Amino acid sequence: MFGFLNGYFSNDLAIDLGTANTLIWARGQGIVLNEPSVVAIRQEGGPNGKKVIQEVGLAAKQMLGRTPGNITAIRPMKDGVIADFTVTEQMLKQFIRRVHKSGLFTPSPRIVICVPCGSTQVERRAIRESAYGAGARRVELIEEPMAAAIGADMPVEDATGSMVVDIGGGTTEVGVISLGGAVYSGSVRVGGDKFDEAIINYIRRNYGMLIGETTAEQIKKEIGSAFPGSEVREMEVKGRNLAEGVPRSFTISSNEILEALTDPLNSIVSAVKTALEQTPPELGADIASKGMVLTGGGALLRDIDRLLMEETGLPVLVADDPLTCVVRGSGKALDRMDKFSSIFTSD
Amino acid sequence: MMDTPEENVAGVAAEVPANVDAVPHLSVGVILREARISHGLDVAEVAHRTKFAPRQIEALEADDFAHLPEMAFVRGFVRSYARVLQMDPAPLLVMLPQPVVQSVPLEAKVLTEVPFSAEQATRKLNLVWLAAALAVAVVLALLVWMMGQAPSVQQAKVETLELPAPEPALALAPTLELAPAPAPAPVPVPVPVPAPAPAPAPAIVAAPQTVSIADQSPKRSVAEAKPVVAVSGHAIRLVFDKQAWVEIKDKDGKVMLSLVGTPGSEQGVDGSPPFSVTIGYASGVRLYYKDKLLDLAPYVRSEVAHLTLE
Repeated sequence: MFGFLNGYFSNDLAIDLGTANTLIWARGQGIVLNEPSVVAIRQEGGPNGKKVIQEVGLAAKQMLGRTPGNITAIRPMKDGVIADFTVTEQMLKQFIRRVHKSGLFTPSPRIVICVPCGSTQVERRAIRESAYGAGARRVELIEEPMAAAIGADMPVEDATGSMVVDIGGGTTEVGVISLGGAVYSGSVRVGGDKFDEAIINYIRRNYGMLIGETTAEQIKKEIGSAFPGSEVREMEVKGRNLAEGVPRSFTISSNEILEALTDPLNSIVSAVKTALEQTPPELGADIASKGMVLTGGGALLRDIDRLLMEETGLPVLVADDPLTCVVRGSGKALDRMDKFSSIFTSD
Repeated sequence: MMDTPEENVAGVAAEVPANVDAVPHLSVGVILREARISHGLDVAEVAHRTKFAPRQIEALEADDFAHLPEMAFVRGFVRSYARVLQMDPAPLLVMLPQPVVQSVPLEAKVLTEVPFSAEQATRKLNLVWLAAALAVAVVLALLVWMMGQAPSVQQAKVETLELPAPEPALALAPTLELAPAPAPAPVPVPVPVPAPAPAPAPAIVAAPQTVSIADQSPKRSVAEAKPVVAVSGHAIRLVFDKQAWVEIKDKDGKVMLSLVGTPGSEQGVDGSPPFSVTIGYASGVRLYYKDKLLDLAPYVRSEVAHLTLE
């Protein structure tokens, strides 16, 4: 009965539970946590011993691929959804504990959490349950394109079409939004992880070298490109030679990475084109006039806006601080949770 | 966002931000137009590269934001345009009007929407609930207060009933038991000494048993100069020589008596046996059951006597 009073005492949180990074936005404080979605679990006392969480976040990410037998560094999210429910719940609990001090008179937080628009009911329920398990009092889900559009300051409430492409770690979400609702939303399970995977496969295929995910991510960030540019950059990479079985170093160029990324990039372009095909003509005209906005970590891939621009013939813009658009948008939605109930998903 | 410091190495790029710093009054549109002209590009070429319409390019160069989309898009537009001209977009973005105004109409608009009225309704509902809850709380508090008052009143009544009880018991006792012998009645109270003289005579007449009891009781009463009355109408009678705590329960477990007796006082209890008797300081109490003095010594353990009277 007095639930409305709790809002004045608890720190409500908006969470972008991403495949690559988890961001938390707290009411009145802004973004309070930005950590990789990685958990390191230590097995105690033999194979039947209990498992304890060794590290969460950045410290755990540094362990990826470098762990001894009794420690496993895992990423509990895959393709934008939960791959390991228990570990995700524990990770969320740890993150929430860092930003939300629980006390005798502090009620549990209300949480707005993002879900890919292409996720199934089962996947959404898993995310909701994990948030409840992590100590939430009330959980609202918001689709990522909507959150990204709000976070990018797009006029989502107006009678005008706004197109947002959120390229995350596990999924790429495309949404066309008008009058506070999604006119079209589509999702492909291609994102930063698939880019890394493509780079690993390319190097193994063409150089006979095996590199880890962390190295692949580093290559992508440093010389990754989505469109051929005038400048060719190179990078020295170290990996294990598959034939000799010993570590070797080699140099790879940005053009090669562009070639490696062709397949996942084509998937994203197809998703965008499909969205444009499905968009009603009036909204399509708005998009042609204003352009589409790129958000998410994938928007930081060099020239990805240029690629989409050339492929669609439409203006493509990168949002301010694209990595945090989704969580900022969720935070804005949280601020107006009571008024914007329609933007949350009911599944 | 995609630009890196390497791109800014170009000569023009180095010059233009310097100009921006040197001439702060220049607008974004003017800076972009000058940079475009210095690059030898025309509006159509820029429009082709940025995919914006030529009229939008011209509007941006004229700082005519009314003919441009919302600021979120304009910022992206400027970033895209700056990249075509190999400029650092950061100083240009700072010069743009901040999109703060965007949130105000959003808020205002929300206020006029239907969901807001629903929200108001829920708030009203909350107030109604709050008022109802307060009313219920007040009623409950009143009830609790009344409940708290009621037992004390009852207790007071019980006390007032119990306190005078011994006196009538004492007064009645001689009238009932010693009706054939009125002489002993004045004996205990005013003058203890002449009492034994008339007392034995009627006692012998009445019954030999009563004589023996009467014989015992006057002896003690003489010794202690206090209650001489040997018989009473109560099943259990307690004579307190010292302060002691007593609790007596009947066969149903109902507490018949529970009090701390003051020295010199007496208490009588009637009820259905068996009685469960607990005496806190047994050596300071004499217990008469069916007018017989009971020796409490076998029942005492660390000054507390527990016994059951059949």
